[in-house]
Amino acid sequence: MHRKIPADSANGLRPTRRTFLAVLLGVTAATLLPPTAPADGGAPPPTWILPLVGDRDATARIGGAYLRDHPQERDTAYLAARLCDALGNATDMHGDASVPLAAAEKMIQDEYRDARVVDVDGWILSISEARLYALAALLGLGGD
Amino acid sequence: MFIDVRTLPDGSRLETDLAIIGGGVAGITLARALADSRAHICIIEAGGLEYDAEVQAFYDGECVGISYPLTGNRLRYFGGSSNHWGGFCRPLEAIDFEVRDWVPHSGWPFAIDELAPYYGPASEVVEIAPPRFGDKTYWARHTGTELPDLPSGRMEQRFVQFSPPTRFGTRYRDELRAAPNVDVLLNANVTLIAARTDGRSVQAVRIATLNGLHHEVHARQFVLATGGLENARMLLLSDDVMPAGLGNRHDLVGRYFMEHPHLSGFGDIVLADLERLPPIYRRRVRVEGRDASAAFTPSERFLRDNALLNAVFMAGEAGTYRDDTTADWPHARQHVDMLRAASHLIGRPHRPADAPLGNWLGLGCACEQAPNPDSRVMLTDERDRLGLRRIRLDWRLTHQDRHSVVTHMRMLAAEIGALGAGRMLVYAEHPDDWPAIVSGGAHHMGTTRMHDDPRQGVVDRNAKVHGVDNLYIAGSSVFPTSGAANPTLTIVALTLRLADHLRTRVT
Ligand SMILES: Cc1cc2nc3c(=O)[nH]c(=O)nc-3n(C[C@H](O)[C@H](O)[C@H](O)COP(=O)(O)OP(=O)(O)OC[C@H]3O[C@@H](n4cnc5c(N)ncnc54)[C@H](O)[C@@H]3O)c2cc1C
Repeated sequence: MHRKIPADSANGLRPTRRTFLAVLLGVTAATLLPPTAPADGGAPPPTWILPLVGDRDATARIGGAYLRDHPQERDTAYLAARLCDALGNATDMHGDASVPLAAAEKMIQDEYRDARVVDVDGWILSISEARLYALAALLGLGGD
Repeated sequence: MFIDVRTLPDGSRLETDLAIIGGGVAGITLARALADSRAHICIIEAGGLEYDAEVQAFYDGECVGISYPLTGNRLRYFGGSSNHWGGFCRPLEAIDFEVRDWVPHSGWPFAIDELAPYYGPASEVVEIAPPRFGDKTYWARHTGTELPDLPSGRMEQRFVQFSPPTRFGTRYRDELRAAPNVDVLLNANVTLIAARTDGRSVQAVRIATLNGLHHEVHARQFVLATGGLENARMLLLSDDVMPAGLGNRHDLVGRYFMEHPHLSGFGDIVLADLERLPPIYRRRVRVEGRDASAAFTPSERFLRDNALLNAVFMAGEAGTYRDDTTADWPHARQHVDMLRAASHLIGRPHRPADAPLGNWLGLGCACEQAPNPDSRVMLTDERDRLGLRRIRLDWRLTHQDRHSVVTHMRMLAAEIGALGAGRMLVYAEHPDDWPAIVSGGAHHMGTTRMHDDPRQGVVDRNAKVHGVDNLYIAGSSVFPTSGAANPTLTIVALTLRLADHLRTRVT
């Protein structure tokens, strides 16, 4: 399932209002993403991350910093899968389950507790939190 | 009685049972503790009752290691450095007394149980009683806030209690003046601790004044209490009988100088919802007329499992960000980004329009440094006004010191996340990223370390100088390891213990 893509292959992926709205409307990511982005059989984007991330630009900067240090993770499917793994039954990677904020908060706090953390531009972040921002950055998700 | 020795006839010879060299925290505490005995006690103090730049200049010296303000980090007049101390108080931890196989030269000759009975009375001396340094229930009850458990087991919460701060020289002046068996000699610079010819005991101390007079004080017992740097200097200067200096048969005097490297601006915490971290974690709160703050310290288990040195962290409110805040410096931009990105995870579910975006907490960190024989106080060839060689300080830190702090910083960041309170930015990823400028806490420790073996320590478990029958040392220079707690409470506790030891020996 996980396919590594070249570090700069997703550079053409620019978050736009169109992608954001499309995601909200449930349009498949494959139709929206540039051809270099991973096409995971047209899986719908993980809209469940929306309630978890704040401002889009801020999220994109932090997520972007994570991706700079982990270019092999510039893969929406990979990131979504890792997040789904971390969340357990709270969602599935097809984006059709909603993740209660409290469950995500708890999962992320547990990762901090277990020191499953990464350094993102100096921030010590739980690995899933960092991936959440990275995924949101790739998909251009977040609030205004 | 207070006596200005500049007014005594030149060459005066004074006799006492107990001569205490230095009228600072340790000297005053010792005199007070023994004031109810039948012994005559004499405090010999270099300064007067007020600050005097000419007297202070005796503290000048040379630094060849990490830069260190030798004159700014202590005060030379009655009351000593308590005339400008900050009043942070906390006892050492049990682990700080242990021989730790990952900390070379570590271990006190006794466990914390030996000192524990003295911390209560010491808390009264520094006016912070009741001592509740680890009692979360007490602080929760008295602040009316629930205090969270730290989830990871890597960190523990402790409480720093603040002395008013007690200025020993003014607070206890009248009491000492009224004590019939206590004399305080002012403007009396001790220039030599004169040993008998066999070097096995002290006969007298020589005093010089700035108006050119010389006196002597003879006593049965002597206690050197001139501060953590000057204690070593005095022993090294006292070389008339023992060429390497008194108590220095094994070349230990002055070595193992330790500070608590203080790092500020080393990390920041951002909180989107201030309520998630109770006030005592982010500012001083007043309880029963005294200030206190919560502190984060690594747990004993974490220290053992990871072979680390001790440390302590305290946070303080540094700023508030609003939606319209212009984040015009890089770290502020980072703070604002994090507050905005993580607003759903760490913020209030429905933030009112007029509520701030979040808060920034600055972090203070004081860490233990491992005892290191190459970190040391020596003498230069430059002399002060009385012709005494000045201090040359070579303060050094090791990779182990730096590695411990950087690890603890990252673990604190994880703890803040685990609490769901906020997020933390750490400015050093690797021990080598330490800031070029590290300051100390004006805590001078280790230079006359305590050890039962004369080849490993200058004083024995009773703080008596090895090989010298009637010379004791009071103050943090006897600490063989320093922990991360501010030293003064422990200095007072150790001094009260020394008073018990001396009680039967001074009369
Ligand atoms: C700015 C500052 C803030 C501090 N804040 C804290 C804090 O918050 N918490 C904490 O625990 N500690 C703090 N400290 C450290 C604290 O002040 C010391 O631990 C404490 O004062 C040491 O006590 P002492 O008696 O050993 O030495 P001192 O208090 O320095 O006393 C030594 C005395 O010896 C006298 N003397 C020196 N040489 C001679 C001589 N040759 N002959 C005769 N007399 C001599 C001096 O004049 C002085 O009175 C701080 C220190 C400074 C400088």
